[in-house]
Amino acid sequence: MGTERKATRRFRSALQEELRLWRAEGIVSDDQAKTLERRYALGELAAEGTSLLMTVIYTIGALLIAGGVISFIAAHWTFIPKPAKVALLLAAMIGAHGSGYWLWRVRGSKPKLGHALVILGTLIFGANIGLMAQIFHIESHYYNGFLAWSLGAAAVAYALGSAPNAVIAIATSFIWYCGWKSDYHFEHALSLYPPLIAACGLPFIYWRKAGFTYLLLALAVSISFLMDVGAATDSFQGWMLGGAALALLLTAYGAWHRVVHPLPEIGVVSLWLGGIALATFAYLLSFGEMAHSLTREIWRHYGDQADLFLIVGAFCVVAMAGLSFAILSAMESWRDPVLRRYSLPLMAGMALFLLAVSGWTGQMATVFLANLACLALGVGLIWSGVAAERRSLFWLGAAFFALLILSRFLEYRTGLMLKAVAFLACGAGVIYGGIKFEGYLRVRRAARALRSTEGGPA
Amino acid sequence: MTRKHWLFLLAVLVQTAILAVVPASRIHTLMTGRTIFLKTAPVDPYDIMAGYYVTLRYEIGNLSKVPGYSNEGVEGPVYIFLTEGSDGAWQATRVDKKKPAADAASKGVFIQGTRTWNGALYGIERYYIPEGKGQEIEEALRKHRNETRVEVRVDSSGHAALVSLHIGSKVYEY
Repeated sequence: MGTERKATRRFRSALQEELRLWRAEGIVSDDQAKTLERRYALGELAAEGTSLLMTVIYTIGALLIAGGVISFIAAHWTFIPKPAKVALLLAAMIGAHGSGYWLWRVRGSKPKLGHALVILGTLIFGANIGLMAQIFHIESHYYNGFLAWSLGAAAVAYALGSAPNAVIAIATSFIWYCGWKSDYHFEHALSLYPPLIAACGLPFIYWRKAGFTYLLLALAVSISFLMDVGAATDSFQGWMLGGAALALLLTAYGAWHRVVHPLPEIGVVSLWLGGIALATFAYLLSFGEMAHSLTREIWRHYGDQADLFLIVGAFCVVAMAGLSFAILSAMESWRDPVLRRYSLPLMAGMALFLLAVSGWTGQMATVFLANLACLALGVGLIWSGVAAERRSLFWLGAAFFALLILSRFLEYRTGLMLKAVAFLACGAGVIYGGIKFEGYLRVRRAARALRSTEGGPA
Repeated sequence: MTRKHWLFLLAVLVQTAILAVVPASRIHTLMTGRTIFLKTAPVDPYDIMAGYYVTLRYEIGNLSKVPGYSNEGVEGPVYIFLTEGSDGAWQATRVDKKKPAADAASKGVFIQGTRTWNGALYGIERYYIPEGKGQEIEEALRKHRNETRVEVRVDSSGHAALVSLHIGSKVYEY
């Protein structure tokens, strides 16, 4: 079949089970069953399961061996002369890399074990950096070793297309950044780390289509960007604006990948991260104290430049909203039901949040706008959950609403009677909404099943 | 060899090169440097050992009374000229912010440091020791607090590298 569909392992396992029954009950012929087996590569499921298990076992084994090698060398440190120590460390690293490469790429007989040995080689390389410093009594900031480790891991990741090596490279580079930033660099303005790590990591992600590696990269870029913005602007508002820009960028990037570019893994991760960023920042600003800090800070910090800041802020609102709308509306296809329903409330939430962050409307309006942004996000989740018949989105939206309501009632001093009534009403509302949603799901699924047995379009 | 083999070989070479760069300067100093002895003491007499190393404070780490020293201006490298004392330990005689001329090393010994609020750090403040030796060295340091010296090599650029720790009459070299 030319049109190979990407299906999850869970779906394929369930299909394999069902197919056995359908065949026995005569629902599908042997030929049809074989076609489906080919299409979803069901014959490879057993091997894939074993392969995953072997990868986990080999990786754990590699980690344990790395610990053993380093402890063995450390235990005999006193008796080994310096040149022999260096030779031993290099031999352990090159030996692990060489044997791994041989098994994985040259002989190809044990690719999983070979890959695990290459990972072991990179782990030994990291330990060797520290041991070299010990042998020659070198004193340096601990994080510099992580930077060197990151460079070496990145070289192997690109040479072999190894995602675990890329994960090591991203994680160690982020440790370096955190150490470097906290060690007297907080007063510095924006650093080059977020764009550099993105520029170094993204080609690998596109090449290997590595979803988990992308998640780590996106987190490293996002967190470092927020740390940088916080340090550079030295203001709560600047940090909030940075959060808004980050949420918007991730969402637009995710939407683009979801619909236009054939990398759904990146699309899903980006959309989730963008949504989480917006929800977190809007939720923080929905508290009166936070809004008070933000509005007070504007006039204290910017003084005469407040007008300029407002103009820049307004420009950001228009540019960001316009950019996102252009990206989303330019998509030739709106067939993705989740994205279609999620996009508009999300855009509304973004716009409301940006307006709130600008702070020019005063504390009360800022709180109001931030709450509205949260509400829009909750509506988006529930609406797309209903449209796509996905419980997870619906309940996430409902839980976000519940959190918002709970926070407001805990924040504001109202009479206990009023609180009791409100909580009862909200709880009943959530339960009622859930029951209605489950009923809706049952009706929709029954109707679809009926249509498919009658031979109509599903 | 195919292109893929070369790529992997290159990656392993990158890792090896990084490992070589880490101690390169120290190895050069150890091979070409002149041996001097510096008076030292552990930083905290109540907590001498910090894991598997001793953090050392040098007599030449405090430069507040040495001619030429000033803690004003931006932090950066400083060059400390040393002369051998009657007890065999080397002492700071002058501080300069400018790097000495190329032939200065032939006339005397100078060491490069990074300026601190009252002196300088030389990148040799940490001496790693093997597992199981901590207690022995800790006891020796407590007993011979004023008789502790460090053997250091200093090359013609002023870079220093630790060689051994001399506590009383015992020499510890790891």
